[in-house]
Amino acid sequence: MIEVSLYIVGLSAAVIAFILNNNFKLGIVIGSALPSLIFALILKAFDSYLPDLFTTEAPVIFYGAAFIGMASNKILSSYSLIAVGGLLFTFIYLFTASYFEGFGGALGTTAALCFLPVYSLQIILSKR
Amino acid sequence: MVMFLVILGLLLYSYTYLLREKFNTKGNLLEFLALVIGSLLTFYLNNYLGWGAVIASAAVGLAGGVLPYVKPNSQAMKSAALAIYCGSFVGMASTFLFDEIHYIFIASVISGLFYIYTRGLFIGYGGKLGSVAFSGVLATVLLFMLR
Repeated sequence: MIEVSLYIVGLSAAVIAFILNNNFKLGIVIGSALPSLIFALILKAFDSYLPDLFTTEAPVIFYGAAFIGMASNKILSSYSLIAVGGLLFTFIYLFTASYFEGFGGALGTTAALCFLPVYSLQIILSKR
Repeated sequence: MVMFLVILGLLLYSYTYLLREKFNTKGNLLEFLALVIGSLLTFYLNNYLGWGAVIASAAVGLAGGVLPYVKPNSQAMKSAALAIYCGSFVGMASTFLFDEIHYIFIASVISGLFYIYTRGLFIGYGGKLGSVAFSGVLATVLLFMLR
């Protein structure tokens, strides 16, 4: 159940950041940092009511998936593909997190690794 | 060590010389400094004040992200905001990995160099800044820790 909620967190983070970045024109920095900060602070406030696994992993997944939303809509225009990127991020993160604990930039690299397959999907789909 | 630094310096000089049309020394220096400051600040907030990686990095990134609104027409502010955000990813490293403060400084300097030399590549792709930050951290780990 917690894993499912983590997938939902990943999906929504990517889409929220993408919308703030491209539709609201907040720019990539604020578009991804602001929702992540708010989400992390809310979770911190409700720390004692939520399961441990969720409060430790969800902010990190939200922040990482928001990096996928930093993509420009000129490069990737589909919301559903961004959402798939968010899900993919959560999937990869849940398996690789323990290897890169304490590494700066590991989230961003994982985000890039999730973005590129999704981007290639868009190219393949648009060629049809 | 001295020999290594001399070779590195000459190498960077030659790259800068070869790519001189694309270079804008003042702007690059600003970005480099912004990245290093962003990284050190995040590292401090993250590890010494115990804010945690996500909140520290997002707060520093957000503070940097407000800069372009202070001076809306300035291109330098926009690029400094991005560089600070990239630096904040480097600062997400924990003290388990970088147990001494100079490692994070070296990591951010290497990331800063990567950032400057990869400018203009992959614009608009998600995850580029994080990958630059990761390459700096990884280079530091490979150079100093896997001995």
